Amino acid sequence: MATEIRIPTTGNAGEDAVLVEWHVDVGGSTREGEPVLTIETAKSTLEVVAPVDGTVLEQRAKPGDDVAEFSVVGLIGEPGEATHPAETHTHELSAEARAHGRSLPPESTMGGEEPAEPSPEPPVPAPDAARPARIAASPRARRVASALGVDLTEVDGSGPLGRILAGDVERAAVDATTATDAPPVQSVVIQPSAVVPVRGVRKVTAQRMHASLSEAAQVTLTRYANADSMLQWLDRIRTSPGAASAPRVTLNDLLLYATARAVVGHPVLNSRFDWDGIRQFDRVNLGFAVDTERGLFVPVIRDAHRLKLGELASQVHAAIERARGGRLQPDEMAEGTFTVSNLGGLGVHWFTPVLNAPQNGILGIGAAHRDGDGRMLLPLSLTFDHRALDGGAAARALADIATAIEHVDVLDAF
Amino acid sequence: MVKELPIDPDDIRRSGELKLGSIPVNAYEAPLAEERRRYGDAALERIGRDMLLVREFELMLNSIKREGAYLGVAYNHLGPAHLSIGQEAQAVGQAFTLDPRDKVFGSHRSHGEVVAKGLSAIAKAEPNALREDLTRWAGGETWRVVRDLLEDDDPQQLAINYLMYGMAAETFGRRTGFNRGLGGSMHAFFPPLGIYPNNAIVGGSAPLATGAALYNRLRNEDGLVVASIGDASTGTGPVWESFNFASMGQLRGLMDEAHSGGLPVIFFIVNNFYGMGGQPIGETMGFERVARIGAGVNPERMHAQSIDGNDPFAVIDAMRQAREHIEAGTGPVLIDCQTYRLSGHSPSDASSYRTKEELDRWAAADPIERYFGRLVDEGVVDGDRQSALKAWAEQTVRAALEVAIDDRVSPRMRLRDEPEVMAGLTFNSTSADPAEASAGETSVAEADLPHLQAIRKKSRIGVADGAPMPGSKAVTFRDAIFEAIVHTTAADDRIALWGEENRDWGGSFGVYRGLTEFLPRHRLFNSPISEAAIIGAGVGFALAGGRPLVELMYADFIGRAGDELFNQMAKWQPMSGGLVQLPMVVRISVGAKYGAQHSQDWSSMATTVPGLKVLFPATARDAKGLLISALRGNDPVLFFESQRLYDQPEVVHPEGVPVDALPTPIGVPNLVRRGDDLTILTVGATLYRALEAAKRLHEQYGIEAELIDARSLVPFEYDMLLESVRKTGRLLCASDANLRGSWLHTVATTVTAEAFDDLDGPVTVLGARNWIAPPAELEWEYFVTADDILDAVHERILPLSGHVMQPGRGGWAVPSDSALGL
Ligand SMILES: Cc1ncc(C[n+]2csc(CCOP(=O)(O)OP(=O)(O)O)c2C)c(N)n1
Repeated sequence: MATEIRIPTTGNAGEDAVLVEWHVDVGGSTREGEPVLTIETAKSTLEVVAPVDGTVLEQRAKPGDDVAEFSVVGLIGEPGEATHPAETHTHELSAEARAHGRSLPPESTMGGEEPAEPSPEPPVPAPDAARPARIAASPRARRVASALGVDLTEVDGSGPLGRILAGDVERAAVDATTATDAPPVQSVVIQPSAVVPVRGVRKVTAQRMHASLSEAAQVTLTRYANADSMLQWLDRIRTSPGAASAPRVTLNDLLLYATARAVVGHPVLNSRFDWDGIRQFDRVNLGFAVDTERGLFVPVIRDAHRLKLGELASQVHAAIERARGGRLQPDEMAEGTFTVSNLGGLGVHWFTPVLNAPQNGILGIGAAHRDGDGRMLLPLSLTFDHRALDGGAAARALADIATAIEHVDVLDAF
Repeated sequence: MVKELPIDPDDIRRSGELKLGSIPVNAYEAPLAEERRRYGDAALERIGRDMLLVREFELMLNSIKREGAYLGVAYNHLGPAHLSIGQEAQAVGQAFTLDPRDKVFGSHRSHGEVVAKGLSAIAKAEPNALREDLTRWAGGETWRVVRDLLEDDDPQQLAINYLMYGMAAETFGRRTGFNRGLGGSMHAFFPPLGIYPNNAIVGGSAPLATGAALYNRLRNEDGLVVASIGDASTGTGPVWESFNFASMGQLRGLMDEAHSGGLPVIFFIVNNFYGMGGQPIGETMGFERVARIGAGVNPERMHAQSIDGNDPFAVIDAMRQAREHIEAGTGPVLIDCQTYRLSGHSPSDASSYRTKEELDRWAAADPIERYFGRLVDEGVVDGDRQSALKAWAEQTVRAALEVAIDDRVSPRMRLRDEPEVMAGLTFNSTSADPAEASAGETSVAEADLPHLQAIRKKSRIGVADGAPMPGSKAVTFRDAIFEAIVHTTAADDRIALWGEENRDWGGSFGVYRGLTEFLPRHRLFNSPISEAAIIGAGVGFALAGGRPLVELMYADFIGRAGDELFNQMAKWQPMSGGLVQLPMVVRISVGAKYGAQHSQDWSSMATTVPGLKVLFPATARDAKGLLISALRGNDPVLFFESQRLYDQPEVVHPEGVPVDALPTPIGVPNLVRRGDDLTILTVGATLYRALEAAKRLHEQYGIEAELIDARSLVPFEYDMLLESVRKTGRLLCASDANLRGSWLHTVATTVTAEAFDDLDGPVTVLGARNWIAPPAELEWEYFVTADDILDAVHERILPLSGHVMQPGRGGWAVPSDSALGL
């Protein structure tokens, strides 16, 4: 049986590729793993290799054709082997036929005879594209459909005269989610399992992130910091005699403490962008991202670079608690000059934090891990706004942050 | 039971002759000197003065209607003006002998009677009590205007100013009028001066006055009641029913001594010889003389006489005689008061139906001119007294008019601003203060009543070990109503009951069986088969201060009492501007098995008339609780009962029927069964078919119906229903009312609008088909069945897998039937 030549995924769902050339003509032989054709996407050119040894029996696309990912563009097999009717064509046709709401005309007549005269297709009134036919659905079904993001044209109605009922929509929504196991080629439209309205914190976050990414020139630098002394120090703090009565200190507190003290020495980074002038600061109002059920909040600790570790820790914990309880006041989130986002707890190593505009810097902290020598390394990802500062200045600031972390236990020594 | 009225065949078959006796015609004759002696010159002058003021008020209206101005005061009046110019002697003569507490009920042409009764009451009332009455009415709103703008040092003149202002302001629809401007001139009334509703339904005063007189008789109160009725209106059924109701034999033959006597009511026929244009004598009636009617009603011929109604003394004399008859306990009295309307029926009347010659001859007999002529001739008053009094009348009327049309001091109601205002005028939704009620007179103590004792032996719940109990073992719907009536009548003596076959027989369906032993005849009596009078007398009884509980044997008989239910009982609370209370309950039995004229559920029809509370309990507990609420309440209530349910024990409320008098709130539906898939709302006995349907939906299709019994149609609180529909998304409504015009369509529209986005199917209304109710054998072709409910769910709302529809039409409305007239 012939083997299909399929277009591989380009990694970007729905991105079209163009067939550039066939390396093997029909009748030519292929070797498994060797290129049979080349395709081109917006980003790159890809060689498509033969899945098996054999002979190219059929080419279903020619150079210049758009070829969809996973589509079959050719067959490889033994010479003379019968090929099946073009599956993809049937598919396209049936999809079209479905859209027109009628069944397919028969592929061939029984007994292989051509009818004396081709019977004209019965005229099917083309649905008015601008005004789709009215769908019979109950008001409740319509409401549920819009809440679940279900397309009513895809739902079969079980009500009187085929009316779509709310239950039909709910079932369709469930079907759509469970259908994700099926090969992607079969799903025409992906049905969300839920549609979350973009409002409240979600909306604010969406707007901020979008504005930040569309306006700032964001570059992320990464490097490790050695976390050994910090972890030891944390141990010693926790076991020190006063620890029981003092506010509990966490690793995150130490990181904020070190970062604030390092950043204050880099006003080019501890700054805000404005086309009228970049505002640099000699004090650090340090924001830190708190993930809550309600969404992302970024409380700001005023003059964080001046606070003793204990003070900082208690302010940070209080702010986290208020953020989780939804009691954070707007002014507690204002006036930040630099932000820290810690995804280490979630196992992330490196990432590209998005600037908390108009601030020019944000430090991402990843999960620490040991290197071959047994040292504990902490991944740091610093995003800065290239409009405000250049790579060198940012790299120097990041180096200082790493140093501060490595020497966190003696930062206040002098 | 003692048989009170034996029928002796020998008596019945004995030959003889019925002699009707004679009826006096214009028998009054007395020299003026005698009247001077009798009443004094001041009173004689007052009669003339009052006639002048009565006429002046109407001259004002006439002038306003025709010329848009009166004595230089311009005004445009939109409403009617039915004038009685020429009939003043009748009005003033009628009122002259009346006591302030005597009541007059008038017609569409009663300005004269209102003004005359007001003047008479003002002249006789105790000044402090009068002032108190005037200042208190309508929270003092009318009074404050009069005090500020029509002040007078003479308390009599001040009260007259009040009377004329209240009447004028009411005529012009001002909120400071007698009835907040909601009645208008045809309906104005003012109970503190004994002025009761004037009725634009001609003849409408007769049953109301009969009821007010019944109140006086049964409650042992003094006072006469006068019904003014046009001569042409003697052609109406309710007037005849009233004549008889007021005369019925038991009033004198069977009531105990303290309550014995014909009703103290004077049917005062204002005979102006025309309807609007038709002539009763010689054309539309057969009596040749109105007074002849009396001879057909009772052996006293209603003490009827024809009198010269253009001579105030003749009218006064007739009223004096009437009072004597009534005080002797031989009422009612019929007076054929012959007079003539010099004005048209209304200002637009061209008088095409009568000749100029006739008009001229009657103008020459103008009662006012003739009266003053006599007084002057005999030296009672000076020659210029008439014109001085005329000037006074003009000034009094003009001053009242000026204030009444001033929008700043006499504004109109703003009906739409606050829905509570009109709702509050339509229904007071208050209950009687139990402390105000004196304990009801009963023949035996409540605890000793045998029938109540028998009921007490039954189970209060109708279910035992999961199975329904028979009505012989458990308290039935019928028993529950009986208990409610026993409790409330024992607690409040103002409640009286009447209806057809109520006493002894115990009502057609046995609801009152055993009640005869409890309530003496003056609290429970058999009415004549006079549905209009049954209801109309109830309205008058309630307006007078009583609390009637009357019965219509079948809902189908509503038509016979249509006007009394829909124009009288429903109207007088709102038409009074919410200033009177009409606590009245009509029990109406909805039939079955008796075909087209005895099986109709007309509860929906009743809801279309604003002003009536409409209840329809479906379980024994609700029947008891709602009837108690209705009887304690101060609003007019139609209380529908299904004959299918009288034997039904309580199977819906797990608490059963309470032993005590526990009221059920009016307006709140009852949640009968919980479910998430479909809401079913029922009215009345349909509940049980819906219960059956719900059971089958559960057992056969796994569908859980939530079942709500409306219990009360007006008022109806939607909260429970909307909450349910928001949950289930589906609503089916069912009742035994005909589909077209069913109240449930109102519910469907409201729910569809309020819960549109929650609906998962069309709100579906089921009802009796739009045909006649067929005989018993075909009945279930007509009414909604459990199968009909399943079919409707299947075809309209939610297909039931495997369900097979019945052949033929479903129980819901379809357009093609409508085109056929169904
Ligand atoms: C039940 C009813 N039918 C008809 C009318 C219309 N209508 C108003 S006045 C009138 C004539 C009444 O004549 P009569 O009773 O003699 O009183 P009059 O107008 O002469 O005072 C009629 C037919 C009405 N208002 N009510």
